[in-house]
Amino acid sequence: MKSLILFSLKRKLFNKVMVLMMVIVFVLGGAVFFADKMVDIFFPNLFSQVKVYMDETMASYFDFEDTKYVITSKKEANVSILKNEVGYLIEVDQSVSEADLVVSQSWISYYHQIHELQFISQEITHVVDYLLHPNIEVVTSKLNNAENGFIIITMIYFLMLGFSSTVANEVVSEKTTNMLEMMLTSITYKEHYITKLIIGWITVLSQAIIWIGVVLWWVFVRLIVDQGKGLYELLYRLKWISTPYTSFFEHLSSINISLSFVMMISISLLFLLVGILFIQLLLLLVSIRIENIEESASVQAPFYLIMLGLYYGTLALNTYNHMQLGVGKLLSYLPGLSMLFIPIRLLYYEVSTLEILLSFLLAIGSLSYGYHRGLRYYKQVITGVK
Amino acid sequence: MFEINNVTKLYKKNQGIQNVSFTLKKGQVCAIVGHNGSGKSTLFKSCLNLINVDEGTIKYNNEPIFPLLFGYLPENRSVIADLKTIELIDLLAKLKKMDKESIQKQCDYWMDQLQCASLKNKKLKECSKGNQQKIQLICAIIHSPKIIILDEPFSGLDIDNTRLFQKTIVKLKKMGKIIMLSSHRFEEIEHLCDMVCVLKDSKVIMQGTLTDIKQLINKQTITISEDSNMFYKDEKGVIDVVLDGNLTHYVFQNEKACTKVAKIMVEERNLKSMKISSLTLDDLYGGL
Repeated sequence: MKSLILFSLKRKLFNKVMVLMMVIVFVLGGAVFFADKMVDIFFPNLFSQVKVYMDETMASYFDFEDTKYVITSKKEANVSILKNEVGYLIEVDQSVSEADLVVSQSWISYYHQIHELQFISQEITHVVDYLLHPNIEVVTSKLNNAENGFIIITMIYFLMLGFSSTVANEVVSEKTTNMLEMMLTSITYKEHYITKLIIGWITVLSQAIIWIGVVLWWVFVRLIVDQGKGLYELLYRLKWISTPYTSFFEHLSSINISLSFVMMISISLLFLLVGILFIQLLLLLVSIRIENIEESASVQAPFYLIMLGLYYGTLALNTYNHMQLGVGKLLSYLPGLSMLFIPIRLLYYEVSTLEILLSFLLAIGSLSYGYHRGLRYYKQVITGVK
Repeated sequence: MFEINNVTKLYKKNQGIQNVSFTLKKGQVCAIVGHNGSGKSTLFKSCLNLINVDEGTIKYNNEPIFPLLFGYLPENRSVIADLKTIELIDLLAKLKKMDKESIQKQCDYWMDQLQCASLKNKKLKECSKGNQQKIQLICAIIHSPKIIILDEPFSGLDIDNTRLFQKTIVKLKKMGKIIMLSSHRFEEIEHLCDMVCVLKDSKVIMQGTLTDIKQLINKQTITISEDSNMFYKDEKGVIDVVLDGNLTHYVFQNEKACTKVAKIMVEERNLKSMKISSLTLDDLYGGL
């Protein structure tokens, strides 16, 4: 069985296409981890500053820190805002974009309103100020741990889907090339059956290890270069992060990973493992009936649709009422479906230990029953003996 | 000693095998003969434990059989085309629990014997049908099985490779292997086999050593060429005449009648060639 698993893994992970993919992933990884350097090389003007001239009084109304605008002398300015008898004059050079021009106009409007209010009686000032400046607070939502957790679950779910169907193809290929018969003269049906059931998970695990390896390599390189400071600066300037971290370690230490979060993720992964094994079992039993690659394609399309439907159906039902009181709660007990419904309930809402246990028992019980029935069916179909 | 005792496996009426029994000793070769659907593959699959038999037992040295006892060369090509020959051999040898060193040693030996050492790093899809068959034979025998099952081993082989395979079978026989084989080209296996088992509609209709069967069916055949008019068809003792292209086969009931007509032929005709043969497996097959 070990030889068959290793052979299957080798075929999946060390073929030409996969090596090419890994090279692409490696190069992309480098590009991501050195995105700041890439921007400097390919988009040197992305963060170029716009030099603005305005008189000191007007400039005192604005704070240009952390923006691309900088106050300068009239001679050097790209944008000059001047007061004249009838109002204001904006002088711009050719490098100034339409957007910058609009921003300049908004500065004038703001300045004009605020500045002119000083010369009006205070009572009116209050009214106008109240009307012109409603209290607006902007809060940028951050990803919380539940969403982080669901991102992990989603990634593994879709990875598993891909590999489940490759295992089905593998069985079909072994059947059509008569290799299955040859293999079964050396190993038992049970060994072959178990191999095909677990190979998907082992492949995902191996892929994950390779990817983590690639990420760690680039993190290591970046650590040597500047501990990630340049990358965080870029992300901060792009406003993708709200804190300007100075190193990977600083970022890591700021992430609050609690024990309960780790527990939730672990339980979710366990449900996902059992659920995907259940789905893989069903797919394997369907695959063993398939006689050629064309038939295989006709099974895979509905399979993907069903699994996509399951995923988006789960997302659509992700409301408190559905998940804690309605149909979502009910579906979280169903084997196969519990692999998504329990994780989503765990991550976003509260699920009692009893519910988790009951759902897990149902899932593992169905898997166990399906495994034993499936083994008999598997042998029966291969040998053509009832 | 390999014993097949009263083995029955029926899918439908007369489909499968019924009450097959025979015993093979070390170094014996048994030819399984029969039309398509007569039960040859079912017999092989039963031996290989690929299917469960309804009745009967299959034992080796009075012990139940297990997969590693057998080496199997299937009738249809069983290769993964994009693998290198060495990779396929390596996979199947590892499944048979062989260690790396033994695989290397045995692979080199058999590749040398089958004159295919140059194929070692070639992909199977780049190999000819005959060469693929050689690789499959190596896969079947690399783990030095006690019993070797060869289903149509010569199919798709040219004359040179057929002879090479025959030599290999003789070599395996000398090594003490028990060999079961089937073929549709009976002249190719006739001189290899010690025993013949003839299957028809799932039943064994004849079995024994080749000599026993020849005594049982005492037919003789004369084959001559350029005799499309079947000139000797009315001679005494001729029981059948078969026209096969440029060849005419006269079948005689016994040796005496055959010898008499042969003499006449030699006297009357300036024969380029004449072949007198006793029972061949073709006769067996034709008589089914």
